[in-house]
Amino acid sequence: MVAKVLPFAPHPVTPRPGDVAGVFHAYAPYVAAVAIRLLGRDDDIDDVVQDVFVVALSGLQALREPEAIKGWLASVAVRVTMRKLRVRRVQRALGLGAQWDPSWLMAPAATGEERTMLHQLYRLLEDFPAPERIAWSLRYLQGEKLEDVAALCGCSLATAKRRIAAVQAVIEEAVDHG
Amino acid sequence: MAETNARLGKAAQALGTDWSAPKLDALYLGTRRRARRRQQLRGAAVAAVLLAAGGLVAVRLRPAGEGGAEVAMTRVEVASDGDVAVLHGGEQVRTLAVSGEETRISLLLGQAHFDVKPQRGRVVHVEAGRVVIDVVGTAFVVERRPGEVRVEMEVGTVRVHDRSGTRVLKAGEVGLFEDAPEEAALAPAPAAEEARAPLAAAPEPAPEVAPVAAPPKVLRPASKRAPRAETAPAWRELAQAGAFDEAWAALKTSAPPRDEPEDLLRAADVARLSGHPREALAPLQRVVAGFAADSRAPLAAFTLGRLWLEELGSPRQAAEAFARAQALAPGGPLQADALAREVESLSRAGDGAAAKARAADYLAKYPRGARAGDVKRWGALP
Repeated sequence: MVAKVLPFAPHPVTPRPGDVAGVFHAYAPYVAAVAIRLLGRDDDIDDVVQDVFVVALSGLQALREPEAIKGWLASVAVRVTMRKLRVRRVQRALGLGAQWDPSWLMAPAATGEERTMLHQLYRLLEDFPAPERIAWSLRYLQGEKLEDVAALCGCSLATAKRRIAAVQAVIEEAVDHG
Repeated sequence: MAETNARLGKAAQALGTDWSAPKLDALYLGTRRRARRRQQLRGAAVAAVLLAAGGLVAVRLRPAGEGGAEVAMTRVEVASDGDVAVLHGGEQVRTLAVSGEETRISLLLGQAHFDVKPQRGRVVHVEAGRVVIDVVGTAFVVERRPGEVRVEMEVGTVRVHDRSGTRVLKAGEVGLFEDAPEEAALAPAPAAEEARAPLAAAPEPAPEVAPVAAPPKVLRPASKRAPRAETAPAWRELAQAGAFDEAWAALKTSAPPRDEPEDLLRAADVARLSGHPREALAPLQRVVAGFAADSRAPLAAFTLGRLWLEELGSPRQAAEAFARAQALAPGGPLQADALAREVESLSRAGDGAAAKARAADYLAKYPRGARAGDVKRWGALP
């Protein structure tokens, strides 16, 4: 007798908040993309995504609408990456951690030119405190509106604008001077 | 500066992952393990604080489910339109698909109570490992245990498929079914009406599955080399425990799989489920080419088709593999699914004429088949 084998399902399903496994499968790649853009590294992205979902799990059960899932996960991803960036900055200040390294970001889908731009960018971003860096990255790498940047960072719109402007000034300086 | 920001934003769009479904499965299980460890650490930290406070507090830690507080069972409801609601324990259940013809749900671990409303022509499939339960309207409990699945019927009737056959369970009955992920044994003569067919002579020659150039050494059958001694931890035990990432790491430093279908299929599972689909090709191709008469060869060919189509983006090779799966077991239980997937593969390969012809074959053989709607669409039939 033959064990019945079912093929992979061709029809994706929008998961409900209570469908934790479904939410993970549907949104893990999105969380990974957000985290990679904020952290500037994809070498440990498996761990980062799992950390985000471990934190997100309890809050997920409290959501009522499927539409709220993505925003919730994005806010948790921002909190987790903020914490990681702060820890890294403290470690570097104490001489315990390394500066950002190109080997941390393989970006296999990027062209050579794009990879070079991103490497230069993340070297610059390394010098910024986590709140400034994340606000700018959410705005220009993740493409979020200013209001959403403020909401995700848990700050006022004015503060979000100030943080973004601080990073923008340094990037403009770097671009102007090659 | 706006242009620079735009270019940076565009470059950032290339940052992401290309995780396959098996990779997501493995990551999800890793997330659950991590969450459990964190809970255990919190519990230990609380206990340590209590002791440090100097109080004589006796804390008896009991595993969940043994006396003390009841652990609520996962509860799943399937509405008559196939919509799935997980009322409790959502992390154990995953909804794979909902379409006009069917709903597919996977029980990842533990046990769950399913309440399936009458489906009016639809079918609900509940997967528990390699055991599949076909439901049209009933209530039952499914429990996954190491190496087996327990199904307890409350109301109605279900049909359960496992490696030893198909069995019908009725209200009040309890069935235990083999679930052996490392063994994908097939046997001839299915019981399902749809799959019954007279015994065939030697199967018609079918197109060979396209070989892959230079498969990695780690998964090439050790038929011509002296086998190296196995060292712990053995990859087979890790695979049986569901630790596929660890099994893959162990497999790379172990002797190659034995040149026999069971071990080859097990190695292919390890490669697939640890996110290395290309490395699963060689052992599967070996089973199909070297053990064509083995009852597991059709399943190996079918799995090859899935890899080519879903993981490796080669629908033409997938079509050949699904055709081979049918040829290896004419009238077998994989026949209908393999033919449907062949139609899909041909459609995705851009071979509309062939897709249409094979779609017509499917509809002639299985006019009320579970994939009839999809097949019509892929074959561009009215």
